[in-house]
Amino acid sequence: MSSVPIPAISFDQLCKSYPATGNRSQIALGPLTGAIEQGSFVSLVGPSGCGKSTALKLIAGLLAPSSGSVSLHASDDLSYVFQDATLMPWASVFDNVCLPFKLAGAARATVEDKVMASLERVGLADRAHAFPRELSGGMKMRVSIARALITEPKVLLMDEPFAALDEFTREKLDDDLLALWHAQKWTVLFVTHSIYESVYLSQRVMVLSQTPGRLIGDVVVDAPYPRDQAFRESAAYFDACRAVSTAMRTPSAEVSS
Amino acid sequence: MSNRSAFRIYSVDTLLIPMLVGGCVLGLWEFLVHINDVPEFVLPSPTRIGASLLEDGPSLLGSLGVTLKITLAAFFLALVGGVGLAVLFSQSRTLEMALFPYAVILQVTPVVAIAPLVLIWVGFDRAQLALLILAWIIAFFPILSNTVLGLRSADHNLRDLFQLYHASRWQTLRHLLLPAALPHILSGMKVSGGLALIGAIVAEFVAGSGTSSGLAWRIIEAGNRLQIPKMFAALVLLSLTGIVIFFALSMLERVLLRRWHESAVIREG
Repeated sequence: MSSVPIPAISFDQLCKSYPATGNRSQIALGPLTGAIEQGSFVSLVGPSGCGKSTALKLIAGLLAPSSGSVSLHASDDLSYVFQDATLMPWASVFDNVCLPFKLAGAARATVEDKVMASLERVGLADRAHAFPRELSGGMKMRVSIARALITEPKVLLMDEPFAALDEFTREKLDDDLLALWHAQKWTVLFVTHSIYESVYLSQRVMVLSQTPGRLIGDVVVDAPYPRDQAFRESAAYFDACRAVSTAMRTPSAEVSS
Repeated sequence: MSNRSAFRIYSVDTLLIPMLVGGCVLGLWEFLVHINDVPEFVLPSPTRIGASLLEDGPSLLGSLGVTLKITLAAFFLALVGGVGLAVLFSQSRTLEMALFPYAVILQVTPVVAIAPLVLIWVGFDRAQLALLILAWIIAFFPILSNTVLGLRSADHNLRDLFQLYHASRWQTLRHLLLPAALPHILSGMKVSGGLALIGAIVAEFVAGSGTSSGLAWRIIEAGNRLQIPKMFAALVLLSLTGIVIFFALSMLERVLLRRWHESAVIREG
C-alpha cells in the first residue's frame, strides 16, 4: 500500500436492488464505492444475506447493477470460485479442469500439459481420471481452484469457497491458496463470513453491514507473507480480528440514511 | 470399478426369491385346475399354456415381430420427438408456453377415443401407420416432460460458470444441459418403453382390422374362437417382451450413469 496503487477492480456508487411487494424495490447491496488494488488479497466479510455474493456477481458481470458502476481493468482475465465446488458430476477431474479451454474451442491435445500442470499445483495430478463423487469435499474444492487458475486469470473472485469444509481442511486450503497467490500475484477478492479466515488470508478486509450491505469498515492487515501458525498467535492477528469484529458491530443505523 | 459391476444388476437373492414365488403360484394353479376340473376355456393349466406356447409359438412369434416393430418405431420416434421438443422448449420460453399445454392435451386424451379418428385420417389401407401414430402418442409424453424437467435441473452455479467462459448456446446445451438431463431422460425412457408396447397393443385392439397381424389381433382372434390356452400363450409372450424392454433400458441406464449418478452407483462391499 506504499507506491501509487493501480486498481484492478473499482466500483462507484454500485447498487443492486430487487423488486419487492408493490412498486417498491428492496435494496440488497450498496451503494458501494471503492477500489481493489492490483495484485492484492482482499477479503469481503459480513453477515449472511448482506449481499457479499451479489457483490461478486456484479463484479463478474453475472448480474447487472441497478445503479452505479463497476469496472474491471482486465475484464476477460477473471475466474470465479463458488461456495460449492460446482463440478460437472458426469465429467472426470481432467475434463472439469479442462472446461474453460474446451469452451474456448481449444483441442484437448494442445492443452493437456496445462491441465496436468494445474492439477499438479493443487496436488491432484494422480486423480485426473477420477470422477467428482469419488473425491472428498476438500479435493473437489481443489479441482475447482485448479479449473479457476488454468486460464491464468488476473483476478480471482472467491465466494466463500471453503465454508462447507471442516476446520483442518479449510486451514490447509487457506495455506495452499496463499502459497499459490504469493507465487502468482493475481488480485484476489475473497468473500467469507469468518473474521479469522479473512484476517489470516488478506492484506485488507472490507466489512459489509447487514442488508442492505454497505461498507462499514476497511481494515488493513499489516503483516508479511508467508503467514503461518505463528501469525495466528501474534498480536497483529488479534488486533486485526478485533478491528474487523468492532467494525461488524457498528450499528447499521449509523450508515444507512 | 470393474466392467462386471455394470451388468451385475441384481444379486442371486433378488432373482431367486421372486422366481420361487412364481414357481409356487404356478404349482398351486396347476393343482387347483386339476383338482377342480376347471374347463380349459375358463382357465387352462400352466402346463396346457406351455404346450400351446410350443405348438403356436412360431406363428405367435411372427405376430410378436409385427407388434415389436411398431413398439420400437413408436419408442424411437417418441425419444427423438420428446427430447427434440424439450430442447426447443429450453431455448425458448415462449415456445414452451405456446406448445406445452397441447402436449398435455394430447397426453390426457384417451388414445382409445381418438383411435377411430386417426384411422380415418391415415386411411384404412394404412392401418399400420395408424397404430404407429397411436403408440407414439402414448409413449411421447413421459420423455417430453422428463426431459423438460431434466434440462431445467442443471446447477445454477454451473450455468453461471458457462456464462463466465462465454459458452455458446450450443456448448451450454451439449456440455451442460443435456448431460444434466440424462438421468431424467433415461427414467422417462423406462416409462415410455413400457407404454410404447401398451400403446401398440391397445391401438391394435381398437384400430386393428382383419388385415392386422400383430399380437393383439391374435389375442382377439383366439378369444373369439375360445382358444383360451393360445390367448394365455400370447399374453405370456407380451409380458416377456415388456420385461425384456424394461431390463434393456435399466441396463442402458446403469451403463450410462454408473460412474457419476447416485442412482446408478453400485456401492462396494
